[in-house]
Amino acid sequence: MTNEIESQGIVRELIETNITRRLIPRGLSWFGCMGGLSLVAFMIQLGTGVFLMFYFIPSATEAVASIQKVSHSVPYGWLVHRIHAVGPHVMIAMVLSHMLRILFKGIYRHPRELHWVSGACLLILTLVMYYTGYLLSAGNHSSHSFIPVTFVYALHIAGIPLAMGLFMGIHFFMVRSTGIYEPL
Amino acid sequence: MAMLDTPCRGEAFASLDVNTYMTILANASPLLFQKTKLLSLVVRFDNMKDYTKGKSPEMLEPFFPNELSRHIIVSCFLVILEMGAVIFFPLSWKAIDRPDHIPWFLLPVYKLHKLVHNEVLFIFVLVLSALLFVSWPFLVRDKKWNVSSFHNAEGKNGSYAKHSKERCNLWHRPVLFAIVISTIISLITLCFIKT
Repeated sequence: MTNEIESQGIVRELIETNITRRLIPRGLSWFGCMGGLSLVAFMIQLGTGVFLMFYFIPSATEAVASIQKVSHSVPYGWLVHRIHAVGPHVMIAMVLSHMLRILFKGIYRHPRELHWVSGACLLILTLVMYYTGYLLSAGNHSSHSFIPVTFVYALHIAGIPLAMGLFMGIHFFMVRSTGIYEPL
Repeated sequence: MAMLDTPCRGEAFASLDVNTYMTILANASPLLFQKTKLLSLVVRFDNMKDYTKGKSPEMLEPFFPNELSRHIIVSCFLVILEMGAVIFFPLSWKAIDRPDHIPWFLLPVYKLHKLVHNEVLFIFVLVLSALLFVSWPFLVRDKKWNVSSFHNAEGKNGSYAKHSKERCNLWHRPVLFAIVISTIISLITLCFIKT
């Protein structure tokens, strides 16, 4: 019983330290939320992508047909597919806005150089993610159809997301330890 | 065991030695020890920035609900924006001559590919641009201000910290500002070039 209280104490401490008792500098800009919005956009892509994984067939001949099946036969499949197709545009717009703010406000400076490096790598990975997604949706109609669809699919659903997860972890850990950019 | 009898909450837990706590817990309940191990590791390696250092209460605001609600509100806007894009995207208005499968954010790369016919040179330019982009903070490092601004921003000298922070903005460094602006204008112009 005492141990249960101890365990609850740790959880309570984590919540209090990180959320309820946490104090931050006053007057933070609304534009400072762009990084968080990029994460939200990524989570939307992740959710819709997992849904599409159940129906997509990674084959040069059946890829396009399977996407059409999702759009026409699966309930709300058209909506999920559409969100997944439009999402990268919104996500990249958020990431670019976030990076432009960082650039113009000089937040990349010491001690935050590695934040910029990890963020820039995330942007490049996002662009590669979009490109592999395009190749998958194009199937054998793509000009790069010599690349096996299964290889592109593995990159799109596992390779690049894992790399992105790693870079995001590093990015968030560093932001947490050095703190957000404080207003004057 | 006397330590376990104390309710381990808030300020009390902060003073508890993690190693002592883990030893006692491992002897008392191995199963709970495993469950708690991860949480304790999180607590141990947690090095979250403390914003309260060197600041008066008027300079601070609570994360919950202020910052959290800010994020929730902008997230709702993002969802509305995305739903709007689902309905209206792609726009029928086409000011730029481009194939349908090239998105707006890859347009400079596409136009560059059209302009540079040598594949090796094209890839070299792309890789070089990516390297310059990633290593930007190291290329424009200002040794005179960087280290001192970080240490002084901790609160040792308020006025100096303020001065060094003011210098952070890009428009306070005209050469860098000119480079960035001209690069952005070049990229936008590249999108409108007819190839």
